[in-house]
This record gives sequence, C-alpha cells and structure tokens, in this order.
Amino acid sequence: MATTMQPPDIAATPDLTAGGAIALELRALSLWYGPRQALDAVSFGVPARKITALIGPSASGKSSLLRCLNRLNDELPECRFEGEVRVGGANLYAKDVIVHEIRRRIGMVFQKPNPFPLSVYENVAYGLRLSGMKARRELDASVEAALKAARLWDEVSARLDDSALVLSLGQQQRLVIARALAVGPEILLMDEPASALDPAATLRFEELLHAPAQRYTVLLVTHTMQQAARGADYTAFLHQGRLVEFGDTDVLLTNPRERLTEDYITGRYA
Amino acid sequence: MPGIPVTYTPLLTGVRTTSVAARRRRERAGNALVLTGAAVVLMALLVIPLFLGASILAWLPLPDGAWSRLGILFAGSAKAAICALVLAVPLGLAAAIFSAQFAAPGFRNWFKPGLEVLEAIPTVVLGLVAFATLAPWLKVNVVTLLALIVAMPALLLAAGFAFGGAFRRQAGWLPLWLVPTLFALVVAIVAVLSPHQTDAIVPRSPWNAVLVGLALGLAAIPMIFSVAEDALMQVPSTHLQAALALGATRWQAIRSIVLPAARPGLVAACALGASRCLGETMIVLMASGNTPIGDANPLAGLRSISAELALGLPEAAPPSGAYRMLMLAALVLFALTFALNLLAERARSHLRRARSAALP
Ligand SMILES: Nc1ncnc2c1ncn2[C@@H]1O[C@H](COP(=O)(O)OP(=O)(O)O)[C@@H](O)[C@H]1O
Ligand SMILES: [Mg+2]
Repeated sequence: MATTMQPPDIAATPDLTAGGAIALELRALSLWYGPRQALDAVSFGVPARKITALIGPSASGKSSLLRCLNRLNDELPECRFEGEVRVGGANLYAKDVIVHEIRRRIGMVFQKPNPFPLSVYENVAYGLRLSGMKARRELDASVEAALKAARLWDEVSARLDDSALVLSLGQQQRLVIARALAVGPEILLMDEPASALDPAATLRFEELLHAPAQRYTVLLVTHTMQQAARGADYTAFLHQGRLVEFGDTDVLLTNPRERLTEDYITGRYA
Repeated sequence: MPGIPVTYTPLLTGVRTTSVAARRRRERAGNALVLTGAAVVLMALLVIPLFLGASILAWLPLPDGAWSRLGILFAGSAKAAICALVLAVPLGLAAAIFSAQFAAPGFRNWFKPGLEVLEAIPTVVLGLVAFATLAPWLKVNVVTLLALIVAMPALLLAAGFAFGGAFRRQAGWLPLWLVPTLFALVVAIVAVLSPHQTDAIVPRSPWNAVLVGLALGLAAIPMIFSVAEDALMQVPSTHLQAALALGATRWQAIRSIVLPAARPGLVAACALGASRCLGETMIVLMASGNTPIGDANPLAGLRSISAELALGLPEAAPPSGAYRMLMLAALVLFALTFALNLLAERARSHLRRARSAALP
C-alpha cells in the first residue's frame, strides 16, 4: 500500500495525501478509557482524496477512532492507546511529531456545532491567526474563501461581526466547517456533521462535501446509510470497537460480506 | 371524545379534589413563607444603611477633622486590600486555571477541596500567625520576600520550559514537589547571599501593610480560587477541543478562548476577593499596627475602617461626634462592599445568561 516510500517524519512531508493511494493508515489500533476498551485492533487505510464513510451503531467507537487520527485523545488523561497510525507513510505518534502543527493539517469537524463565542469573522480567522497570518487583507480573503467553500458566505457576508452564537444550527454547522477549511487541512475528519441539520440543510451539506473532496481526504462518520451511499467512495463498518468490514461503498451497502453488516444496513440490527 | 359519556366514580373524584385543594393550600403557604423571607432580607438590607445614615445625620454637623480621618482610614483599608490582592489575585487565578485546565482529574479531586477548606481557617488564627511568626521574620527578610516574588515565577517558568513535556505526560504530581522545592531553593540562596541580622531594607514598622497583605491575601485566596475555578469549569470543553483541533496549543486555547469566555466569572472572583479584604477585621486588627497615618509606603503601618470600628466603638457614646464619625465609616464600608458584591453578582449573572444563550 503506501509503504513504498516512507519519509522520515511528517513535518518533512509536503503533502500528506500525495504519493500513495492511502492517506491515513490504521494498524491494529486499540483504545481504552480507563479499564474500558473502546477500540479493538482496528486496521484499515483511508484512501487519499476520497470520501470514506465510517458507519456503525452508537457507542461503537466511531468518535473515538476519529479522535485518534488528530491525536485529540492525547488530551484525555484516562485514555490509553496501542497500535499505529501512519499518515502520509509517517508515524503520527512518533516522539518528534509536533502535535499542534499536525492538527492544522488534519482538520476536524465535531458532532455538535461548536462555534467559539466570538464573531462570525473571528471564528473563521481563528486558525489562520494561530498559523501566524496577520495582514488584514490576507485574513479577509481567506475568511471569505472559506465561508464560500462552506456555502455560508451569502447568508453571513452582511453580518461578519455579529456573534456566531446567534446563527441557526445549520449555519453554525457550516460555520465550523468553514473554520476547519480555512487553515487548509489536507485531511478532514468529520464526526456526524449532518446530525444537527434538517433534511434540506443536510442536502446542502452533502453538496458542499463533494467540492472539497477533490482536494481533501475526508473521513466522515455518519449514522445514516443514505448519506454514506450518496456521498462516500468507501465505507468502513464499525461494531463494538471492531472493524467488521471495509470496502467500496456500493459493494458494501449492496452486497456485504459479513452477516453483521447486512443486518445493520438492512435495519435488522437491534 | 364526543358522544361517549365520561363518568368518574364519586369516590375517586372526591379524593382528587381534596388533594388538589390541599396541595394548593400548601403551595400558597409555601409562597407566603418564601415571600416573607425575601421581604425580611430586603428590609434588613435597607435597614442597615438607613440606621447608619440616621445616626450620622441626626446631629449634624460632624466634628472637625472627621472627613480627613475618614480619608486616612479609607486609605489604610485600600492599602491593606491592595497588598493582599497583589498576592491573592495572581495566586488564586493561577491555581484556578491549573485546577480547571491542567490538573489530572484525580489530582483536582483533592486539590480543589483542599484549597477551599482553607476558607474555614478562623481569621484570628491567620492574624496570630502574622503577628507571632511572620512579623519577626519579615522584620529582617524584606529582601528575601522581594527575591521570592521575583524569583519564584521566573523559576517556575524556567521549570515549565524544562519539564513541560514530562509534566504533561505525568500530569498532576510534578507540581507537588516542584513548588516547595523551588521555594526552599530560593530561600536558601537568599539566606546565603544576604547578610544576617540586618537586612538591606528595614520596614518602617514591624506591623505593616506587607505583613497584613500576606495574611489577608492568604485568607482571600480560597474564595478567589473557588469562584474563578467554577467559572472556568463552566466553559464548555467543546470550545477547548475545537481550538486544539485547529492547531492551538493548550495554552493558546486557554488564553484566546477559555479565559475570555470565563472573564465575567474571573471579574466576579476578584471583586469578591476585594470585598473580603476590605471588610476583614481581625487580621488587620492584629497585624497592621493600627496607626492612623496616611502613608502610602507598604512597609509602614496603617489603620483600616474595620479596625477603627472594632477599636473605637466601645469607647464612643451614641450622641458624641466620635460615634457619628464611626457610623459614617461603617456606612462607607457597607457601601463599598455592597457595590463590589453587586458587581460580582452582575458579572456572574451575565455569564449565566451568555451560557444559556449559547445552547442551541
Ligand atoms: N471521554 C471518554 N471517556 C470515557 N469513555 C468514553 C469517552 N468517550 C467515549 N467513551 C466510551 O467509548 C465508547 C465509544 O464511544 P464513541 O467513540 O463516542 O462511540 P460512537 O461515536 O460510535 O457513538 C462508548 O462506550 C463510550 O461510552
Ligand atoms: Mg460519536
């Protein structure tokens, strides 16, 4: 797979998703919260510049898996981790990886929209300022581009200085997507980003998803099979912390290999 | 449903009506009780300034020099409070940030109650410590104290840079020995370097504002810590997560998102701390020397409004000028602490409103 050419470290890799077909590779990933195991030897590769859906019943470890991939689990004191994550061929958990820098390249959108209690503009500019962008003109342009990419620009262009908290839920969700896109990540981790949206907003969101997919590698947690079917090139099915099946979305959803997968996608799963 | 007659058994209906009526009666009684309580509290609040005001105004004019004495007392209170806050605000806020944002849950579980329990130390004990132990030490160790104030944060920062990574991995136990070790180190260095017996800086009085500040600051730390920590803990962790996911370091995330979101609570903590320092009597009484001099030097003595009240009231007969002077001082003290508490309450309710508005 992507092991043909392994650069020495992530920082030296100019593009995490170039070169190999696999952008992120999980090898026997296990995770514990205190004594409680949340992931059990999960192994699969996330193909570069494609949308991969992660499906599974609730509490099957989808969010936990996602948090391993930008090392957000490092922040939980009780959390223990085994196995390996390779990104662009390099070990994500190597000692010399500068965590906050790698997080700029592996963006994350959370399950519940969580805008900062700042203005719309400052929300989107937050990551840009962190990466050292200061010139107002540059910031303005990047904020506008990100809001346009997230299909939010038309609705908020007149009130960029209003608090982000007065936006509707669907607008907040697109705002946090714009915030994640603004720093130009190469990989996007999305945790049920449409769960807070009504059907119309969901459709608009899926539309949005396809545009960045040409540039980004997307790993999308979703609990609706339709979203996986419509949006994702590949799908992984997680059940009780184990990876049951991974494959092409069409194949997995129409002709699953495993009985468990079939039960889940046909709704027979209890 | 139309057309279908509804029938109740009389017994059941009877039971229901009495229980409803009883409940209503009880509710009304409860309401009356609560209202009475509120009214009593409100009246008590109003009675205090009215009483104080009446005792002053009834026999105008005030004696000569009352206002200038009041000015000196106010300056004394302010000097003591400022000295105490200089110690208590940075330490209290730093401890709160540490506890809410950096400490491992296991460590926090006893760090927070441990610090809050200090609130229960009677102030007379703190005053005694200041009087019997701290004052003789301070008399010859002003330079040591200054060195501590400068060197401790510097050394802590240096240690943070040196052990930062290890600290985060083993979060919790490191600061336990780090702080006292650094403290001992600085004291030892200063003790070796400074000439014994006579210090380079000699306090004007053994009972001075720095001494009061140390003891009063110690008394104010738990409250500042507790209020600030609560405010910080109430900032949704999703803010921190989002900032970290965007590539912020933990400290960047705290400074740019968590602290601003908790700012009203931090302001409230400082206001309550200031109110506590202004109103506190016993420590000031025991450690300030009670000399009514209008001297801004922190190494000189002072006399606070609260100490004046405690010392002067037994000797002042109600109609006398001295008595009315004291009542005026009490009114000023009441107004000051009331305003500070009001400010704190408003800041905190602002925080509550902001949070409920943030819920989608
Ligand atoms: N921070 C945490 N601390 C302790 N347990 C957790 C934490 N986060 C998740 N878990 C547990 O890990 C399991 C997997 O949770 P999660 O990854 O959120 O699943 P999903 O996203 O598929 O619903 C659940 O049993 C959950 O209770
Ligand atoms: Mg989840």
